[in-house]
Amino acid sequence: VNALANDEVGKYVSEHFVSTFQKVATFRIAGGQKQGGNVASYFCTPDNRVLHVVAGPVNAATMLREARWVAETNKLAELNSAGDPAGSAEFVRRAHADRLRREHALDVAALDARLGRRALNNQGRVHLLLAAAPLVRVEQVYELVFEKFLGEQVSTSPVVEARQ
Amino acid sequence: VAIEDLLEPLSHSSGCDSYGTAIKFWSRPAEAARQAKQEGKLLLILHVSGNFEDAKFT
Repeated sequence: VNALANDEVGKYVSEHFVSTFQKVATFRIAGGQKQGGNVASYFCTPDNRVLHVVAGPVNAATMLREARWVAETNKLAELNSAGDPAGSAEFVRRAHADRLRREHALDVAALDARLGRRALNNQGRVHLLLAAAPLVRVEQVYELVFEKFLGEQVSTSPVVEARQ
Repeated sequence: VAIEDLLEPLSHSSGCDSYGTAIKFWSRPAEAARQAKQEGKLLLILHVSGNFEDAKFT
């Protein structure tokens, strides 16, 4: 959440996005220490289709870079697809595949059995997910992101403060 | 009576707050989505553990 307190992040995000939040999990507080807990930032179209996800907490520079990438990629997707949803999804798919290749040395066009042995970090997993399922709806992926990528159990339970 | 005073209760009922960040957050995702569509903006949805409204529990 600290990245969101940054003025430059706040200015850019406020100009390009309408923001909201949702509790999807919980954590424990024991001995004054937080145990577990995480955050996933979904950049979406207004109809909840996922353009990008930042999985886990990041610094302000990373949040700003990712927010800019989303906004600019979406503009290019609109330009190239001329309002065609399938064209837009294809553009977003290619954008994630490109980042996966450049930043994580994984070419989705050449995926084979070796993929199972590749160790991707969470952002690599995000790009792989969205290269395979561009513009998927939030409700179709949030459990996967929170439980498999971030290692947190999705839960409606309230935060538990353990007694000393 | 100033117009701001009349609108103040409405701004609270819309569920917008910055919660200690530099960003205004809508508390209801559906309202945020409607607002994004209306303003021609994209949507940022934070999925968090705990209560975003209370820094101690986020």
